[in-house]
Amino acid sequence: MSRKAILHIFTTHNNVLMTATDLTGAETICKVSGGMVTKGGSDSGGQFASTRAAERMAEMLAEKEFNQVIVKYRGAGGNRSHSAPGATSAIRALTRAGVSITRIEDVTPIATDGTKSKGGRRGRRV
Amino acid sequence: MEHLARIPQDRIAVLIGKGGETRRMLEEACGATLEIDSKSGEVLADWGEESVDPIVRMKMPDVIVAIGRGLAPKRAVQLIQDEVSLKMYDIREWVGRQPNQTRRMRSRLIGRNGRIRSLIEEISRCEMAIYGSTVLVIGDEDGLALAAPAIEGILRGSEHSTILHGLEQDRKRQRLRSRRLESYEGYSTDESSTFETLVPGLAEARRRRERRFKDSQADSEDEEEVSSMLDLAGDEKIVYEEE
Repeated sequence: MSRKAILHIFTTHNNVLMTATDLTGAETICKVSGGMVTKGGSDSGGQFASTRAAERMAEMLAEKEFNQVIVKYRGAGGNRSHSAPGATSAIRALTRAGVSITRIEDVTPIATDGTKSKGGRRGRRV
Repeated sequence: MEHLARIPQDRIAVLIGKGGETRRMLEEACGATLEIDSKSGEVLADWGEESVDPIVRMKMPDVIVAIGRGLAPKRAVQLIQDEVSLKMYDIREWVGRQPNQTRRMRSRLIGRNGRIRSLIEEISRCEMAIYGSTVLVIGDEDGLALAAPAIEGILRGSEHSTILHGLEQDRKRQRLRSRRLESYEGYSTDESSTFETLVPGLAEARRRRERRFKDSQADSEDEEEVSSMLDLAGDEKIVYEEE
């Protein structure tokens, strides 16, 4: 039997958070973060950490007999980076670990009434 | 049919190419058939029956957007690669909507005879496209980390000399950091072989602990499993002593 899970990937420049839930999205199956797989605090964002985290996540999912996932990835959103660097490398690592991905969605939150960088008209005043 | 992106009228010709040449090249690269609405500029993709690489599917809209925002198709196909990503700036967010201002910023970014643009591209190994009111950069993570502050600085109004000086500095710093990171990764991967040979008995102890941990995962309902868990292995013993 093939069981399906939703894998939420939240990548920022400082960290990577991965949470696998069931299809309702309400029950967490397992979760991994960048900080759990690297030593240095500043290394826990970025591609290396997200690859490692994805490998760990694939292991955990295999243990719980989930072999299909729907990936929903997001970045910081707003005026910040739309798709942070880690998402692609995480998905690549997942496919390499043998998880079959049925769908990929970008769920970065972006305000529909426009985004604006902080600082105001006269910039940041130091 | 999946909606990829919408591109401006004057870039449709570039996307299709001479006799559909470019379009064929793109279709080959991504493994889908592209449908281009030459009136509205909508680009749709038909991914066919067989499963394609999900990452290609995820990055294809970026490729189309990049072509639509002035990047040459040959360069834009690089975006399909894993490590290359795209960053887009809207000049109007920095200097307002006046056409004179966006024009001024475009010139500042390009420089005389394209000097500034080619310097940024050279140092950060990125590709830049300046088109209308947008600036688009593609490159790998390190390259974007170099190019982004430079472009933002120019848009903010810094002088060119400041930006170029900063680029040089950043490049030096990044080279140092990449050297350090490589050594760090090398260390962490073969940690088990070096450290465990140094301390006698550590590898054995770790193996024992892992086995015990695995054994303690037995199903409590299954009697056979429980009894086998209670059995001692050859190198384990129970010692009773009085305190």
